[in-house]
Amino acid sequence: MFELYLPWAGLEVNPFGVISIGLLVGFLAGLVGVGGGFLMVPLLNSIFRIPMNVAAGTDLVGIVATATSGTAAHYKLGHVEWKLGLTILIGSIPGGWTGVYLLNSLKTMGASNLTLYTKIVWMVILSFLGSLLFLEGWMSYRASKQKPKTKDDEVSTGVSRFIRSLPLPPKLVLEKAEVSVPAIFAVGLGFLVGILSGFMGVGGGFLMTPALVYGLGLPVVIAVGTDLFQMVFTATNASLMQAISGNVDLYLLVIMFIGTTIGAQIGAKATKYIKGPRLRMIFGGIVLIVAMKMIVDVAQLMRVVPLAIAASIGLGLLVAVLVVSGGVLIFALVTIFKPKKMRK
Amino acid sequence: MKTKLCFLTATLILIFLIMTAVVSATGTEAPEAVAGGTVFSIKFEPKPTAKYTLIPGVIDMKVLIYKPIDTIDFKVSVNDKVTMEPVSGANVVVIADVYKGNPEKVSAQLTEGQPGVYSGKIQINSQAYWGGVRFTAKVTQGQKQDEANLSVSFMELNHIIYALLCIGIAFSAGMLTAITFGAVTH
Repeated sequence: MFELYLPWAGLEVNPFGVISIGLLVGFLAGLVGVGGGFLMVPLLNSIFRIPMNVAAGTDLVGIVATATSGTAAHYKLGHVEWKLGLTILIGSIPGGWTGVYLLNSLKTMGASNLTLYTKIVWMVILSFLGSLLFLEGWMSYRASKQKPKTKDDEVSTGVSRFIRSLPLPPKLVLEKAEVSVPAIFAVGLGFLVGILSGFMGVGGGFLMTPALVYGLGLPVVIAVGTDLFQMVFTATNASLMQAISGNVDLYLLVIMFIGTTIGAQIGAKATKYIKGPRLRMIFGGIVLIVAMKMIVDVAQLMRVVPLAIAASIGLGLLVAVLVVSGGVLIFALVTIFKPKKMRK
Repeated sequence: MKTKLCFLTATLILIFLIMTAVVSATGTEAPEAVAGGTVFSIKFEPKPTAKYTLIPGVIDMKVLIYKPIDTIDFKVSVNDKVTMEPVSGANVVVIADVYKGNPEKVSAQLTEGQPGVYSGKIQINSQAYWGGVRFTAKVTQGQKQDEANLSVSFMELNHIIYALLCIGIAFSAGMLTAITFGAVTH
């Protein structure tokens, strides 16, 4: 079997296996409209035993590529609020340094501590994110059966009205979104996302976009465009530090990128045929299964669960992730390539 | 769609092949093949609870910029934290070891020259393209043992170039995707 040695990860992997996982994650990410880093990093670690720091660092460089292509497209469409994006960067750049510093501090505490603590963070974030996606999908599903929301309802919530009304100068006047928001909120949000980006190797879109939409009341397209713009710099900043710290494996990056790029294209194409809240519920379910895998890993590392039992449960959960996501991929491919008259 | 995918895959394979050539030429496992030296960034981590301290100011690294296989001369001073008197004698052991990024642990016991000043040599492993050197001074007095630590981290210039290369490839791949397909991945 063809194996590729990853010099920075210090182990051999099957490149076709990595491309396949990239394909699956890219497909799901393209289908749901998220970056997918929060799924890629734990899967690289669980399936290929790539150390969490290398998986996170490498994925982060991949996010630079994704965010660059996204920003280029959203710039053409006029979806980027430059003023807000630059303000977010005031927080996200030092946040990124803090995240990488935390990761490197854990590295000096030894490999076992690094694995344990990073997995605890992942466990918490994935549980939160999976629950959020699942609940959001479920609520949208229920809401879709009632009267449709107006555009105004989507961009203006009680939380966003409260935050915008806070007497915290200076305020940013956002012309495209037609709102004014306290700059300190954007800086604080940037700092938080920067820490997550540096520490976990994720873009943080799963946190930034909902915060901009529900917290500041920005239209979704503006929120996505602005998030991608700030992500280019936040991810670049953290990536440089990750690469200098020896956490980026370029071989892994390239083979991973082949899979995610092709997968994202299939996912995007599939959104024409597969859509709706049920899909987000399935995606949330997949993220929750990965979170369960992290819980089992943490339990095993803390010697709460014996290794043999943890390995069996972990294998079962990984098989579940691959079967569910693979099933959606096959369904999407069959639907895409089915002749038009047979689709109905 | 198929043509675009083939174009993108072919480009990525090309990048992969170029990377292989670059990595082979610069040698991630044999950094001595690279011209130029290593940039030292120094940070000091004296153990705050230790009674004794390793004085950073008198660390003498004659070769601050070096190729990873070079031998580095170290000189460290061990002083009492309160009185600042030199700590010397047979009850003091000072060890320097290369940690992080070094596949094989390399350590050396430093010998005392002047009272309280310990020196020695250590050869940085050819694979230690980044990492650090940790000094540990152990002072034994009767049944009690106290320990002071000092770390010096180093980073190879090669690694900075590598980081910039990673970002360059990511930007290129991102722009290539945007030109070929537009943004769909978020």
